[in-house]
Amino acid sequence: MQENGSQRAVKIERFYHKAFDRFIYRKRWMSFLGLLVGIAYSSWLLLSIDGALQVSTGELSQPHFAWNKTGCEKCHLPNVPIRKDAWGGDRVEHIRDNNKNCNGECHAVTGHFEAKTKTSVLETESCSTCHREHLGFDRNLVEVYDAECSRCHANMASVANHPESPDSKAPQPISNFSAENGHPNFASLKHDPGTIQFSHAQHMRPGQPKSPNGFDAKKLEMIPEKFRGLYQDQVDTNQLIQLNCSNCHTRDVEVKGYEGLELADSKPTASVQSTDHMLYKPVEFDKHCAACHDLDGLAHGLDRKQMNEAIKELTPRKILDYLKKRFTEAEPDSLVDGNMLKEIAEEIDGRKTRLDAILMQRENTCAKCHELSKDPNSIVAPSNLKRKWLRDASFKHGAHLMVSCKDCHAEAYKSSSEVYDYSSNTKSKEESSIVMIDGIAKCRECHIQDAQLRSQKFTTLKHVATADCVDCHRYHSDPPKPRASVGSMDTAAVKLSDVQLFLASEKAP
Amino acid sequence: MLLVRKLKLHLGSIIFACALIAAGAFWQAWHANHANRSPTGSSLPGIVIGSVAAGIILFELLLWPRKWLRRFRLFPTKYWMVAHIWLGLATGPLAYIHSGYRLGGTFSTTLMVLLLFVLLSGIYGWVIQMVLPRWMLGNLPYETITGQIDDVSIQAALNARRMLTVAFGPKPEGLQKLPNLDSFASDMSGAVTVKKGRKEIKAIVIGAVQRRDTKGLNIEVDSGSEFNAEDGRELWRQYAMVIEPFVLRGIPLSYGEATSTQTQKETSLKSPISTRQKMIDWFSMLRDSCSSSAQPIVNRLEKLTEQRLQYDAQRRAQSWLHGWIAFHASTSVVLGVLLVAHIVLALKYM
Repeated sequence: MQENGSQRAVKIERFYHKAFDRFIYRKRWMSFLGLLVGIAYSSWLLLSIDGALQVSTGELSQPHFAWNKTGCEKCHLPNVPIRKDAWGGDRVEHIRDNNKNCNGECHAVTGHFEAKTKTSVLETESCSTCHREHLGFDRNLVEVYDAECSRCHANMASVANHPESPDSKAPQPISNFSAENGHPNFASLKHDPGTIQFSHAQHMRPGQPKSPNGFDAKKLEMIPEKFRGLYQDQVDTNQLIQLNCSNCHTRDVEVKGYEGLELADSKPTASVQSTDHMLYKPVEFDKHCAACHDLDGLAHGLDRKQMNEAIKELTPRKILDYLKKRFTEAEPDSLVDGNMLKEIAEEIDGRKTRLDAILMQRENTCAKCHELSKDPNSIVAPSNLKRKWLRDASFKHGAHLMVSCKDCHAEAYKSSSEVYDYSSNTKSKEESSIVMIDGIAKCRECHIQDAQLRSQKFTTLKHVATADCVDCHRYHSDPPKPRASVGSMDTAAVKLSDVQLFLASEKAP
Repeated sequence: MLLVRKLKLHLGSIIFACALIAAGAFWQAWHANHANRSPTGSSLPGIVIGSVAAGIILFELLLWPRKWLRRFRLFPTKYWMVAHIWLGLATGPLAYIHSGYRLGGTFSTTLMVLLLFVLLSGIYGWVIQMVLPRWMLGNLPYETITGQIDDVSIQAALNARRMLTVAFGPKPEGLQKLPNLDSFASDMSGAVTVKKGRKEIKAIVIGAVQRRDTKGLNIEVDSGSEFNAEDGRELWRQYAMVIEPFVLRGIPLSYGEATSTQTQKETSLKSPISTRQKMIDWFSMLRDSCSSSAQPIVNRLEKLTEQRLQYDAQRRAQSWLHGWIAFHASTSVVLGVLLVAHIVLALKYM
């Protein structure tokens, strides 16, 4: 039987589209599941501290790390943008609220050059602009990006208070340490305010004679016995003492294993850095000079009154012995006749205290190294020795242990090798006025700001380093004001405690 | 022409999406450069771009409610879909520009990953819906409505039984039992019950031509033809043992006392005609074992098997065509909910 069209047709349900469809079923269930997951996750985010951490763009740094567990409100004021570049974040009241949140209960920092900076600029500076958080536990918050510094320093005219005096120089713009005109040379290296007459060249010669191969060269047996142990390993074949840098310049903090880096012929291969060792201790007369410069019983650092008292206590006999010894043994050419000695002794015996004036005018005593003071109460002028040469920067010697002293203090070695004759004081004064620290050009040899250039230089240079602003500068510590008065801090013999205080202040963020 | 027409349809949305991205990227870069800071999501351009992206995501999610309201003919679907595709694609770059080209914390990274999943699944769906239907049109001539494959297979099995009965007489005794399809036969010719939720709708089954091959399984066997009884027994035997279990595989059927769907499935898995190549080989052997008069019957049975193979391919293709929607929709829903949380938290801790 032939099948008709109706039979041939395969019959389907008219409402097939209303029948169960596994795809639609699956879509609906999965979407419902997605809704539940979304709501659950959102609730966790909004209602729990652990959930809120999901919003955090990164772990907090070490000082704030504990707040990872206490929630965001400690720093983030609700609905107050913490970032200055956020929409509305540059409003003064928001910046003030956020800064108050940091600088009050926890921090106590001052503004930056408050007297020199416009108030309108300082009040729009927020902590979080420079100290970027959420960059990990090891993030050093003090490491401020250069762009944050150059934001103002590249255009000082708009941020600095205009100098009232027409003679005052406007602050120089700073944009890039490595660029030729991007950073001025170090102003504090232009001039040595020190008044001590000291020749590095003379002291680096064997025996420290005034002139090369001079008769006055010191041998080991010529220095007091108590000092011989210090120098017994530093004598040449002629028994002449050969000094090196570390005889006078000792580190503020020892770096174990790298004790000999200051030796004259040392070639450091160390890559070690020390964050503690910053400067060298100030030279002290009693430790570093007294071995050769004998004051014959008189203490160093006395003022005129103290000196007079000390001299009065000396018996005429002792004075005579002293003078005889000094003028006959040490300086046979400048013998003083017996009458003069007698006259002096009589004057002293009569309590005429003019001897100190005679003593100090002799080349072998105070005036040998010091300028005489015009102050009637002082014998010598303040030494004005600088403890810290780079006034606005915190230089760390410990970070530079991989280079030798000569690399940056070439002047000290140069004058030595050129063998000047320092028999005259004029020459010695000339050398004393030389600042023996190389300028910014020397720093730029290793410190390169541009990362790409730095990586290129790395192939040819032995030591390459960054040149970030914070490598040397700090924001919240204004440079120390120059001291007008003459005190112990301006003398050569600065106490260690002062140094330690200074170092502590330098290390503070 | 078709391409030009399609391009015209898409061009407006493409230009608009590209303009949004370019404008956003330029503004963000300009602002960052002006402020001398790296671009962020909390800056003014960051917030505006983020808001635009969020608005687009909301629009994308409106596709669902729009389907409920389609009877109101709010907006032509083709335009809506074009906007859905191109604006949706723009959300990825816009979100990335909004974020300042960073992933940020865990939550924002989750949002970005979710958005990426949504975009990738959408792109996949878009491509597959362009490619696969064309392939099905050319390669699956027996294609039918996917939900009706079981019914059509049963219908085909009934036809085959009828054909064998007409040609060789009823199935000989002693052969493997066939499932009872009488109830299906009555449903097909009368009314069926369609379940929709809890409701049961009685629907009249109407005729519908389901294949472009008009000959197909049409029975053209002359009842007066001479057929070999041996051929008949062999074909019935092979039909009951191999062909019908394969054609009806996966359909829950009653075998009287002791059969089940499981048995059906197991049978079909072991079927010697489970692939096209196996089928050709198997039918070749079957053809050899039959006389020439039975060859048209064998050919019809082979077509029946071929149809079933194509239905299987169609089912797989349907999975590819529609399977992604569940993933796309669910990730979109999660993204939409988390986006709200993101807005709340971002405004609070900006």
